[in-house]
Amino acid sequence: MPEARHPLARHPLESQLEAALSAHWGEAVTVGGLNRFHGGAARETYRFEATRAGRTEGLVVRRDPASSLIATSRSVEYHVLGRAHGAGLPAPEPLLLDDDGSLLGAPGFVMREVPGGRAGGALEADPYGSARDETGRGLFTTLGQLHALVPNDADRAALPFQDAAGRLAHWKAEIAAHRLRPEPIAAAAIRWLEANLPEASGPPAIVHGDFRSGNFLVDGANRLLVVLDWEMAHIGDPYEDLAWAMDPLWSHGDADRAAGTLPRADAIACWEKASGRHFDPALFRWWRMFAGVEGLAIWITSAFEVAHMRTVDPVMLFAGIYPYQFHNAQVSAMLKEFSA
Amino acid sequence: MSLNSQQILQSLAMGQLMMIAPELGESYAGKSASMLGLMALMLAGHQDRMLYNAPRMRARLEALLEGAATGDSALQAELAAALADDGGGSWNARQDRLMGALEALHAHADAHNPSLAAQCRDFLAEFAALERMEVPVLPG
Repeated sequence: MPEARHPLARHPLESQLEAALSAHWGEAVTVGGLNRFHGGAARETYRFEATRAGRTEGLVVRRDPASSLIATSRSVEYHVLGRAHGAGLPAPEPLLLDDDGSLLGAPGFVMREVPGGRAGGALEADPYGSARDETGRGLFTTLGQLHALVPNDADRAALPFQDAAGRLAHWKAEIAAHRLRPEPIAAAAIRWLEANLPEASGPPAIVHGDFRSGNFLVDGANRLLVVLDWEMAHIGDPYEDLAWAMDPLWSHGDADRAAGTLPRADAIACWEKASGRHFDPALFRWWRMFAGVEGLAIWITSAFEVAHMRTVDPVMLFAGIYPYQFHNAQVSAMLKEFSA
Repeated sequence: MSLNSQQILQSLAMGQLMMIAPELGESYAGKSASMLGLMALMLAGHQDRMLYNAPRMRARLEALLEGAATGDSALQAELAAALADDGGGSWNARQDRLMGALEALHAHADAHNPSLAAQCRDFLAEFAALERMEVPVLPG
């Protein structure tokens, strides 16, 4: 359960950040203005201001919460942020890793803030307005550029490798561990996926793992500003990201447009051009179903946390209801469509 | 007759959205308060629809399980036991029991009986479509 704290009391994380950043930079740092972001159920995320030698900059700290939708490694996220940022992709610059929680009170890391951005709300209709095509071109070009990177030795050391079968086994185990009651739709979908395992779509890529609306920010003109929430990154099949990004749950009510931005065919064309990879609709069908099962696994895990009173965060409650029902309906419709 | 459950939930939601959330502003607490209000509003409409749809879907599920001829004695016994279990008077407990039986039946049918598997898929698709919540349109 969350701790109760007087609203005017200084958050203990501010002192922890001061000590950690002072040691990191080798000079006195003061921290203020700590403010928690809403959402982001995999991590507690706070913005704050750090001042050293009279200069103030906005930073962000992400650390493990008491309860989470998904078990993820902060060292994975820290590595992939540095890799993406270093490659010129719109990702925050990571600054300081605390892998064991000795500095920040819980495992986490600090990164530079990318100011001036806004995320489209999951239930927000047409969040990018007349600029939505431009938003989509930036988004799916960035995704293609990520998938064009060839995993190097450091990537292979830091990021887990999981092919289609490995990814499916991962989420199947999550559902088995967290289901509160029978899940006949998830079970049927897993049987279908196991019976139709695909070949790899191409060479392995760095996969973001949660590339979708809500995990990227746009600027005032609705152009892509930065991609966030890399905690589920791994090396695997890039179709996983493409299918998740294009899943209707993230389409803001317009299923003809990928992530509520470009028409689906145009989004795929942007991704193909930037990645140098070929889109195969037959292979993609498997990943569409996989995206639905992955979603169900995440929402079932969220419901598990809520049912066991490990959290009262309404984000977790919402995740266990609305997107769960959405994906149950979508997956059951796909089971009919793919069996016809 | 006083307020029905839909009206009660709607009033709780609007109180949260119009009285509590604005006072908390853009803070984490304020956004959480807004989200709680929105969910209460979603539940209000959803509950009313489910009161109408759930008994109809329950009857369809029972008919599907009762009519399934699987040729598997262990599975038939499992189906019969589920159908006979009243869940101790709990709607949710009986629903879980029946859905567990459906999960077993569907797995069997996927392997041995394409026609029955199609019936299971049809039921699940209709059930999931009816169960899905709708996003409310907030009053202006």
